[in-house]
Amino acid sequence: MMNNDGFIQIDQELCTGCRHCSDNCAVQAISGEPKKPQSVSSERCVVCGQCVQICSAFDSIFDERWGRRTERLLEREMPQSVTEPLFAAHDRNFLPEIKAALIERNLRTVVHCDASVIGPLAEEFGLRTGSIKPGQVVAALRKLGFHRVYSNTFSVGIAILEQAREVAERVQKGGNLPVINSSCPAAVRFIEQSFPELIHFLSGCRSPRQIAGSLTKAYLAQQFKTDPAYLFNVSLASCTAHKLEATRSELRVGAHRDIDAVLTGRELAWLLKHYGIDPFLLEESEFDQELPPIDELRKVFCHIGDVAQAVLETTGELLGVDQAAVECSAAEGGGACFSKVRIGDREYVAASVSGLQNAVPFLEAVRKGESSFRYLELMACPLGCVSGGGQPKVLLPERRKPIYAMRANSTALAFAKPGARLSTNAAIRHLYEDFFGKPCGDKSNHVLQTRYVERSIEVQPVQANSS
Amino acid sequence: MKLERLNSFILADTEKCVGCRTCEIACALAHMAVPPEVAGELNARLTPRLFVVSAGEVTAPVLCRHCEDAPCANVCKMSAISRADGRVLVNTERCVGCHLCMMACPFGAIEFAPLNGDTAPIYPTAAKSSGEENKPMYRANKCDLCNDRADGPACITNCPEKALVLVNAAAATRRRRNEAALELLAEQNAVWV
Repeated sequence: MMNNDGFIQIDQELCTGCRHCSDNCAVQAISGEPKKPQSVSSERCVVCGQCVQICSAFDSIFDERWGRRTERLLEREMPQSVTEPLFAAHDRNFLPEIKAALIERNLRTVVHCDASVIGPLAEEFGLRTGSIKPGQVVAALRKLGFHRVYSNTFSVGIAILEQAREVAERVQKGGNLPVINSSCPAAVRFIEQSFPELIHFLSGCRSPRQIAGSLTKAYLAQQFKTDPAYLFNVSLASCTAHKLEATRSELRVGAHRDIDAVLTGRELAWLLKHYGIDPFLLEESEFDQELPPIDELRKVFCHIGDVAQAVLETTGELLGVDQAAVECSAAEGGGACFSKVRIGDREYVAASVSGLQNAVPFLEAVRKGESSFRYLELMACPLGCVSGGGQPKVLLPERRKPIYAMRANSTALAFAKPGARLSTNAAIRHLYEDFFGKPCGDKSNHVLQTRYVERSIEVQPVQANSS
Repeated sequence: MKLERLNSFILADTEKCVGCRTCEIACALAHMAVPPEVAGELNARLTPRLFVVSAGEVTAPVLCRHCEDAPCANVCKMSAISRADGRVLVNTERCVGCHLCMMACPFGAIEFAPLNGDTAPIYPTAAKSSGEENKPMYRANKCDLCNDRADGPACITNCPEKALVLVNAAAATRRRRNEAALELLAEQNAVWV
């Protein structure tokens, strides 16, 4: 049944060939004849997971023997307790590895939580988005058996700081401008494939989730006085592309990946239900403080333009402006918005786009050297990480937009305080001074920077009969 | 809905239908007491009342025609199927699951679905200690044109391809007759002028 080795699979028995997924696929990775089962090219697929969100071909009780569901759950390595319908398009998971690690006595298990997972998790339990408190999710993760639970916001802070440094440096010393945000793994993969000549514009900084990974294996291992091989590092993400990113060969130390396993919000809900844990009933627990959460950054990645604003603000701080005032235009049609900051006598503009199709004109402008912006924020999913491939799957197409908006609002409302003052953040400064020695030194670059690969693939126009 | 002389029914346009099964999901959700928004909330199998069939090049949902002299109602020994408000409706409380209606329906528009929700199944004595205790209780399950739904049938409003329409044969025929009469006028003008 597995028709390729990619992270996105289409069940050949369930797919009806409606081609809604391939119509939505920005990289034309899904092919097949109409009304016949489709297949995914793992070479092209950037694993954004939107097909998983869109797919509506489910395992109808009226179509098959009752028992086939058990086999299908086994094939997909899902717990048998899962009661939701199984859809044709699905993503492969790391659940067997995670379950094994949680009961392995010699391993210390660490989990890093995306802020964008926490609010929508409530939906999986039939509650309004945001009704499970972050502290309850932490408690649930501890109950599952994780030894250390961290918020991802610390790594988001580091990523924003590093990217702001890069913008400041490239502006001052001359370099490839705009700096393209490297936080979205699907967008990075898309650039490597479809715009390979632009990989030098990408920020050299790892994505926040991968920074969390390398900090665990380098910094936390040292703090815990343990061999990184005995740390099992799980990334709780709203993202399916992160699964592919985590397996990239450059993001590992020796044989050990920085991120050993990725767990999406949906998969976490399966695990919690499987073990009978209801997070809504738990007492709140605090995130662990070795990588202290930066609460102001929780809403970043929930709205288009948040990352760009934070980077511009921090660039202002680095260039010696106290409290740089960033203006941000509202998102226009096509999912793009622009942020502006005035530093001294110069104005810096950042563009923010969500949706890979919407990003193409911006990337074309960069390729032709016609871009007026200094920073380009890309997010592959239609409304950023709240609509990520690993988020709870909305059942009806017309409900998708309002629910995504509700998720974004519920995450944003909780944190009205803007401006995180990252360049002076005590915890980040402490990390740089005590562990890295100096910013942009060899050690910090080794842990925080990465490299990209040209993987040019000829993208052909969509053809109806290309099976 | 205005009550017509003939029963209304839902018809799929096979040229437009792509077979995505969104109508099935919408139908199943519309008939739940508290419809869930996301897949993870579902703790029972979806039981739609229309059935997307793909046969060769054609995909289309098949569902009840709300027949005037409904064979399903005629064969039902329990008087569980009746005609009311221009629809043919199943009373699941009367239904004993004898399968007769399922076999009588010339369209295959009746399926048997497990009874769920707040009416917990009562297992028949025959099932006890026969290894079938866990087999759910099945009842006749067919289109009711979304009885209480304000926006009309959920399958029609949710179809991404707009492939489903509510048809009333009497109204459609009256419209066609009017068009024919207008054409007649045009023809006569063309001949006599």
